[in-house]
Amino acid sequence: MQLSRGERWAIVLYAIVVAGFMPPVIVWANRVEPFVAGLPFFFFWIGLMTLLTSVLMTLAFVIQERVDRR
Amino acid sequence: MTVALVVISVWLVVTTAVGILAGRHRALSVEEYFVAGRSFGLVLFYVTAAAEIYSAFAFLGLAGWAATKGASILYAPAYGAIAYGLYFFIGPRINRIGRAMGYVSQPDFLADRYGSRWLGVAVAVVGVVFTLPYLQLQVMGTGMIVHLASGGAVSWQGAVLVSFVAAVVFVYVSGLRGIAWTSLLQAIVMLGGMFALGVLFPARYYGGLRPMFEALLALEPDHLTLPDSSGLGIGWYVSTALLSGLGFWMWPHIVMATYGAKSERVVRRNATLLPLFQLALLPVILVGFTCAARAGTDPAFAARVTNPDHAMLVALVDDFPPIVAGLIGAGGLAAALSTATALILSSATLLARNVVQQGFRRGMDDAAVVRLGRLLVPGLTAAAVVLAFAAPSLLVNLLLVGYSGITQFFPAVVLGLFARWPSPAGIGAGLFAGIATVVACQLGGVRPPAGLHPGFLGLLVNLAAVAVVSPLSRSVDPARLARFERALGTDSANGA
Repeated sequence: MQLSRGERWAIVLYAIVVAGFMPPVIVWANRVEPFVAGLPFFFFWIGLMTLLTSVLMTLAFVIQERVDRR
Repeated sequence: MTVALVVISVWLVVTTAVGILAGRHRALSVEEYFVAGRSFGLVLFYVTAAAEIYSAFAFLGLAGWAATKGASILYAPAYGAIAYGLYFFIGPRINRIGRAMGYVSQPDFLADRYGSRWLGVAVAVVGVVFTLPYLQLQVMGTGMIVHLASGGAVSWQGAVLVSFVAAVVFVYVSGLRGIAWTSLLQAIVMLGGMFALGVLFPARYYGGLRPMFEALLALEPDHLTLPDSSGLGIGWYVSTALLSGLGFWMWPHIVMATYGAKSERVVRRNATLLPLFQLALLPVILVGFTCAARAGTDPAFAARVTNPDHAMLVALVDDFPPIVAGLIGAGGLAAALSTATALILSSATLLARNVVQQGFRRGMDDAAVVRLGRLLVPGLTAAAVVLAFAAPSLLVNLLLVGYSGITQFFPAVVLGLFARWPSPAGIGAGLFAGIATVVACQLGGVRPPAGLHPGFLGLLVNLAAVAVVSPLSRSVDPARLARFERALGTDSANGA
């Protein structure tokens, strides 16, 4: 009942996702300035991390399939 | 009848028809009715999951929270990301083990994994009890949408009755397959509505995002950072995001959708795509901020919004063409009903299969379980409608009460997939301790330290109880563990 080798790679990418929403990163991102694309920074950061989650997990998917097929 | 009401009514009729047609000419076996014969490919699974996930809360509650409290609402996209990443690891295993063992509900898995029939019954009862507030949220959301979009012409209670009769009909006829096909329609209308709102609102009142935010900051300088206008800070933000993110896949209706997927690869692919859906929450939050700015500068608007959950709909009806209000109302109704139907079906399954059949009537055959499950569909719906009429509440409070109970399944499910050491007594003690903590905080007035969410505190107590009781009690039978490890395909034989 353990993680496969591919999943161990995937979990590293997942850790990056979670870290983006946790202290100390979230404490740093908790600010209004600078505005990016019309949005206050905190709002922008959460949106960016949401988008990045999909990118990182897609990368995890590709790596996991390659590693575990071997 | 107003234009908006016509649009919403047409939508309700179309959805019901599609839901009924989806399930025609199919034999009513347990697997067909409850998990759609485990046949969903990528698209149907994606929209089912998304439509079940995005509920009336995503439409109304988010905007209401953003308007009254502020930046703490950004916990919602955060927990979504945490949840979807987690799904990459647990989703495929839940799907695999469901297929191998023929499970249709979440207590099926837990009762079998820990070899305890009564654990299954307890999980089913807790599951139904904490699903009810979430179902009540959908009922209230439906009523609000139709009542406000019709400009007050239809009472919210009347709207609830009509919508839920329609929902009961197609769940009764078609089970999970009916829910999936209506979800395909609902997801399109819902997402269209959400993105349209985010563009329309700030532009309509302030000519753009930046001026809207500046107007808001001038009124309430704390609104856009933590701690926000309501005083919720980083401790609350992080613990609530974790509580909801970890609890997300513990919802009985979402477990059933996972069983419904055709393959593990479909599940894993979805884990990578679902975060994109979370982006649709951001425009709704923008609408909430716009309403907050407007309420500060326009006292007439503020006076009309008696309940923060209404803010978006009031503005929509006042200042937008009725056809837009109607379409967005239809989107909101879609979000509420697609989640409600899934909740009704999963609760019916838990009661019929896990409480009645496995707890008390072991001789009951599967055809009788389906019959009983279908009979419970109108009964459970009526219970939620009665709750909504008798004890209306702010939408977000209902959501978080549901989550604080459901998340207590996390140790049982995740340790059940990845660890050998937890004992049945340990898991039972953890579940009991976690729920007791939540009840003590919610009803007994106990205040958790450091602004933590009560459900999160419950989860910590729960995990501690599992860790303490497990080594002291009888562990799971090795033959049973071996059977699970074979099903998960990770026994020592293939070295993974």
